[in-house]
Amino acid sequence: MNFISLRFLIFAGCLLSLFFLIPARWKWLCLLAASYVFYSFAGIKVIVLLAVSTFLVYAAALGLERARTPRMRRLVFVLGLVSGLFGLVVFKYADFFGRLCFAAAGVFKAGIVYKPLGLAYIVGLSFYSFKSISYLIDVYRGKMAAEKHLGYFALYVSFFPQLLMGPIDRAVRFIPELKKRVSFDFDRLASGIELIAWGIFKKIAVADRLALFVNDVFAQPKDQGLYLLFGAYIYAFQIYCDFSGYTDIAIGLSRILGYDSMENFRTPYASRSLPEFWSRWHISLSTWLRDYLFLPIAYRVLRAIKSPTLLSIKAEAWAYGIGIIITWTLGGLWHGAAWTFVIFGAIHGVYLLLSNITKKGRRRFVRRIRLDRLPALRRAIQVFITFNLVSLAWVFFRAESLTAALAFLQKISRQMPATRRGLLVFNILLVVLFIGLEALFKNHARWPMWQKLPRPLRTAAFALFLCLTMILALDANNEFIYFNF
Amino acid sequence: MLWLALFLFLFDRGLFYLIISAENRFYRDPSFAESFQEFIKAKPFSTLILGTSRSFAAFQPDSFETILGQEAFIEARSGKGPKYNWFFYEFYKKCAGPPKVVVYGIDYFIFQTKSKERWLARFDRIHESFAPFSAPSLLLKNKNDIEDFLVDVIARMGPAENKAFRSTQDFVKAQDYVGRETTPGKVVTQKPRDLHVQRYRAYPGKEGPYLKRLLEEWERDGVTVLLIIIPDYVGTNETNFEQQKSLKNLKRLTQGYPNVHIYNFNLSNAFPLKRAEYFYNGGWGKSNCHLSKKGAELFNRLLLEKIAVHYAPAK
Repeated sequence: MNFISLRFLIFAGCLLSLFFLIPARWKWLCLLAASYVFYSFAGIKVIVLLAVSTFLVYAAALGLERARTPRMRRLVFVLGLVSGLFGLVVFKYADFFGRLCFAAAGVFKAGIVYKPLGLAYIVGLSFYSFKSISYLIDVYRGKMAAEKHLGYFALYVSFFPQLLMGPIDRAVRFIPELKKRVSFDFDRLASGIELIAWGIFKKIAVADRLALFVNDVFAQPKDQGLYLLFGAYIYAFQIYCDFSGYTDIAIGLSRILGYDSMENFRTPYASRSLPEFWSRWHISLSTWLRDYLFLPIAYRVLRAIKSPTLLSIKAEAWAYGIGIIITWTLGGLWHGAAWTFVIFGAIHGVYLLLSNITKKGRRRFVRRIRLDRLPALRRAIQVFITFNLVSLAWVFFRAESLTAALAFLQKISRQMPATRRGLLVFNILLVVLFIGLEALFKNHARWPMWQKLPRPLRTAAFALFLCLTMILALDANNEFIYFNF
Repeated sequence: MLWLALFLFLFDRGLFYLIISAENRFYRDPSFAESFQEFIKAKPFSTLILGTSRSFAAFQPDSFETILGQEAFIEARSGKGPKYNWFFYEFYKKCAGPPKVVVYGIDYFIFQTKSKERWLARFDRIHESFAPFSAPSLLLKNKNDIEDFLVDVIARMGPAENKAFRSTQDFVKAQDYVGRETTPGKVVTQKPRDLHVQRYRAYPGKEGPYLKRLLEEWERDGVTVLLIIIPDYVGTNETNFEQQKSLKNLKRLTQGYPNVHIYNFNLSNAFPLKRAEYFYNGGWGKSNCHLSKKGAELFNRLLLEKIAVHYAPAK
């Protein structure tokens, strides 16, 4: 069920009325039932998969606490991981790895052809699988006790605002959040509605409009010249508004219900470096990858090297390099079973590695050209370079295939055909408007002048914003991009 | 909440008023009447072709000249519905007198859609009234018109070719248009599992009374009227599933007008409706469909063969 639909509006209206009317001890049940009803619009099969996977991970976590020997614990843990990942591997990656294996076999002239399973991808699978796995690893590592109440655990996995596109909240934080006593709070309702309205604006008034230009440019890159570069830049904003728009709606809904979801975006395109970008973009995924993939790999590499250096390179540098490349390549693959995503992830891995290697050299260079005396200019240059690097990687993310992505990049030139000039100018104005509004939206609460304004005037500003959304909204009925991941 | 409702109401009206004022300024072009008169006097047009974008894609004035030896003037674009046609015909008559024949392209959705403000502006008929209490939200009620306006503003920021078909001088370029090539994949040839179908909206609908007024006017002017049902791809026909109802409705509407003749080319024995290459869009689940260049060539041959009789000199 799409958040931006009449069907969802009715669903949310009914749920909220019921949720605040029933006694506190039954609220979890109400939300759990609502989450499953919400997800059932994707089909009955997906509900069964969600329920089975939830139960198996729940049982595995309890099993971990009861296992008496380390060997037994490890066995239960592996079984739990397999249960949590089974759906993801089968429905998302079976054909990708199948093709890969058969292609490898083809090298040895095995003469066999892979017949794709053709299983349809299940929306939300990547997100809830990562939630389940993080929970299991946390229990295995002793960071948290296994949840005894199946209902609360099932609610954590299937909590409908987060189910389809995250944030991938951690059990250690979110299960206690779900257990707290909540009651109707007008301020939370108001701020939740504000956030939802902001998310809807980002999706239907910005992202969907920018998509018109982006789709055009990516569909026919021939003779587009400089438009291709603008296409990549505008796609960066499209995907940001699309994804963060969804996240804002999800966080807003949780807030109305009385729960605080984790933050997922912090104006990522204002980042001055790639590591900073990943601390501001899809935070729930990047921290997940850091905690459950990068750190274990890096520690393992460190342990394997055993000496302070290898080939005159510090063991820590090896650990970081190997860890970061593997983590981000897999992070890319998490987005989709295609080489474009693998390359997207690998590019970011290389960026982060290079960023780490060149850190001292860059600082020295800045001092030598005396840029450190002009902090504002330095910041602007850093933001510009980071944005360009990120936009370059987005080309691989957006393109239909690797060949298409490379062809897209090759065709960028200084030539500027007139055909799409109007649309480009409009899109640039829209992005500028969006940046201005985002600065307003994120900071207005901190301004003393805003706080002094009487409530009716603040309401007037919100009403004006809603009218602006109505004017700019595009009735494109586009799905959120991350629904596919 | 009360404050929010109040401010929403006020801003909704205020912004809508601002938008229509901007539209009035944007679209009004006093040069239209003069340039049109100049253009229309250059040739002795015997035929006037009216309709929407489907007619624009289907009828080729050039074929009228080469096959029938008749000069035809086409005034068909997206958003030129019966209301626009009425004002246009009045204006046309003033400039060139009534034509001998009017060819009118009939769409399945003829009574469902509205004429666009950008075209009505040339006759000072844009947003004739501002009714602040006609709907809970004027911005939402007029969303499609606002969107059209925005598209036009964007087009005006672009190059001259983009503007040509949207400007008040669109009629100049329209006369030479010979159709668009088929783009593979644009016509939906596979029937989807859950086919979205389109109901027929019967007369009077949004602008039906204007068509009635036109029929009356044409009868008075002694104009032969050929109402042409343009072919649609088979998938579009299945989508627009109430074809029979639309035909009956049209026949009922034209009863009593001896000068009106209906030609239905949206039949498998009149046109090869299953050949996707004769269309450049439409198909299963798509209610709107346009003939491709190749389709229009065939259609014009078939059409002109049938309607030649109306141009024969009286015995």
